[in-house]
Amino acid sequence: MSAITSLPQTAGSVEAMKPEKGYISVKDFDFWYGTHQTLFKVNMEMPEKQVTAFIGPSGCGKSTLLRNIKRMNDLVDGQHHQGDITIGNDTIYHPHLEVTSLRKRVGMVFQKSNPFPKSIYENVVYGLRVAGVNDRATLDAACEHALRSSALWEEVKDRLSASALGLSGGQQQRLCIARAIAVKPEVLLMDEPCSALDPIATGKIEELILELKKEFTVVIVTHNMQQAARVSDLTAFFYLGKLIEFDTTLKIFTNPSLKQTEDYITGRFG
Amino acid sequence: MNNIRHFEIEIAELKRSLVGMGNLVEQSLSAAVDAILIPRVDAREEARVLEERLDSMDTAIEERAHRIMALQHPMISDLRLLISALHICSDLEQIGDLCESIAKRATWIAKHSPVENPKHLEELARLVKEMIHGCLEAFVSSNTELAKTVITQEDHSDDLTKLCYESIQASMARTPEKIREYTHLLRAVAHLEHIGDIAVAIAEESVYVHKGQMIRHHHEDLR
Ligand SMILES: Nc1ncnc2c1ncn2[C@@H]1O[C@H](COP(=O)(O)OP(=O)(O)OP(=O)(O)O)[C@@H](O)[C@H]1O
Ligand SMILES: [Mg+2]
Repeated sequence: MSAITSLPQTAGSVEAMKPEKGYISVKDFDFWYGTHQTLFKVNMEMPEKQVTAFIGPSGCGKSTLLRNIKRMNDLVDGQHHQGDITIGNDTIYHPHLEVTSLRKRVGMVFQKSNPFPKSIYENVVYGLRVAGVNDRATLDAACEHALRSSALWEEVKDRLSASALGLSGGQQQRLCIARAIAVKPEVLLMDEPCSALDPIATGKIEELILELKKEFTVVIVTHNMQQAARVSDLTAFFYLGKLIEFDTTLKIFTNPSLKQTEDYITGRFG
Repeated sequence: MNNIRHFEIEIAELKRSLVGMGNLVEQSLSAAVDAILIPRVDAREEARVLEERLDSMDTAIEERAHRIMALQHPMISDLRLLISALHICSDLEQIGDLCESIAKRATWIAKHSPVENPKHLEELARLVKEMIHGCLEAFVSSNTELAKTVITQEDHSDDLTKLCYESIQASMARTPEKIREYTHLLRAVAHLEHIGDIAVAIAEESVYVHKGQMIRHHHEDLR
């Protein structure tokens, strides 16, 4: 009998530790939209090839911080920041850093899946084409790999040239994940990626996240406490632009240090 | 916010049912203790009736806890509370069984020859009753200090049990023709001690609920 050795591995890593130095480091980070300060002295170390979840009430700044990791707030009028964010050893605000090269290292998946009105194939290889890759064999291989990694290949391999808009919501979301990972980023950011999906599609994405963390450092924003508990290794609780508590998911969901965290998770907030 | 209020009501009702079951267990324990101190032939029947009521309360509490878990997805301390409520419920059910067994033995003794009770039996019985009352009170009113008191009472109950055993063994040696009566008495004392142990487990459960600190099996540091 090989039953025991073939048992699946535990999903979230119960042994997760809060690292001294993470792959993504946020240091004394303040952020303003114009005069409105939305993040206050945030410090956190997100470990490599682990899943970090951001939780907290609406408007507490989760998306703002997530978008900053990819410098997606650059175009917002009047935005400014203090402090630093580093990925690997590189500050994302280095004056000589090309924002486009940073953006290649960081993939993002949004709450509402946003496929382009093009074929499934072209959606997946979009980032590669933008980067100048045109060799058909390379694109084919990358497309298949990304679709396999996003657990979509079996469902679409026979209709790669069909419009992406003909896919279901759950499939579109996995397509967006495929598009994000086709360019082989190091970091994958997900902002409420399952909020528009049914439990089955959600389950697929959650399984996928646990697979993806073998290759990527994942940060996910979610309002679904069970989801944060299921998929993440570390959980950060934000409130009014401040990082209130950040610890292993096991700790946050069994015995958080602060009452405020517990009150939020158990729905007693306010 | 509506939802959470509903949850609080469910939890309050669950606690109330547990208190109800606890009261019945205390009643059952008192009856068993009285019966062993002054053996009566009707003790067994009385205990059986109480035991049946405890069984149906146990089922009702389990169903309620299960329903809350399935529908409300409790987290952190709410989850701990429910898990503990289930443990405590089956602990209480077990105490009910032990009380019934004590009553049966009392009835048997009453139907045969009278025995001489150990000098410390009454004190042991009083202590165990106090421990049961204390652990349930500690659970319901989140009183960790009281829980710790119950936990530390275990040593005293062990000592009294040992004294009772010695006394029963001496009686057995003195009156070998009553060896069966004394064996029943010995078993009844063992049940009492066991009930005290369960009180300690419930007290540990209540510390776990309120502090999130698992102390079952290793509470040496409390002493
Ligand atoms: N482009 C913007 N310009 C000005 N203010 C903004 C902008 N985007 C967000 N804000 C404000 O910044 C604060 C934080 O918003 P953010 O979107 O980061 O919250 P969130 O935690 O992601 O909330 P939700 O859970 O609702 O998505 C809010 O007060 C919001 O109104
Ligand atoms: Mg947001």
